Amino acid sequence: MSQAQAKEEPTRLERLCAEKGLKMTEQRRVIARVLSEADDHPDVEEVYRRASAHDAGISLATVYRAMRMFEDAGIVERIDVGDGRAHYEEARGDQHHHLIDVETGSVAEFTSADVDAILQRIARDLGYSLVGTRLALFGVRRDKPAEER
Amino acid sequence: MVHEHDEETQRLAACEAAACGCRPMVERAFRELVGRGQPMAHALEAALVVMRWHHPEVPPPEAAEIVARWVADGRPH
Repeated sequence: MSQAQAKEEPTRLERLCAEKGLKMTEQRRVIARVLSEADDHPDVEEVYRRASAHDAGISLATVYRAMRMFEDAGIVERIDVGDGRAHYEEARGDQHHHLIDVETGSVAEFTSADVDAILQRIARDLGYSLVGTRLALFGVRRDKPAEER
Repeated sequence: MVHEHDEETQRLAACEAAACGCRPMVERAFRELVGRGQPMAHALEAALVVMRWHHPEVPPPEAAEIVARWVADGRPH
């Protein structure tokens, strides 16, 4: 990402910041773009490392403040990957669930508006507003090669 | 009865030694869920389901102990 790229079409995260009325400095824009482009779950120091590659003037304190602001606004989510440090991902508008292959242990992520609607309805019918779900499906592949059946 | 118990002990020993092949799958499920940001307790529960699918004969409390030990072994100290 070059500085010119940072001024291109705003990312989803930048649009969310604008919608929520957050003041976006050029440095916050770079940090937002780093987060949008991440396909992993970077911690603050990793965000700082990536952001400073695009703007050497960004300080670690600036990244901490921006992450706090994004988190407070619900634009990024803090996640625990088990190493004792806070990692972040762009907050998704959709719920994602997991399917675990019991024969291999592999985990697939999926989203389903139908499932989400059912869960919302169940909560509503029980007199609740749904604030979170955690759904895991377990399965065995149906299209295994014949010799494995 | 003692004989059956011995057989079960042998099966579990094979499992512990990864001879039956289920340990990497149990560890993988745990690792991938934690890697996706799922809470440790949720990942442990899922790993236990994988373990119990391979070993329905192992009572749940014992299976939970084995799984907890396996995933703890795999974590960096």
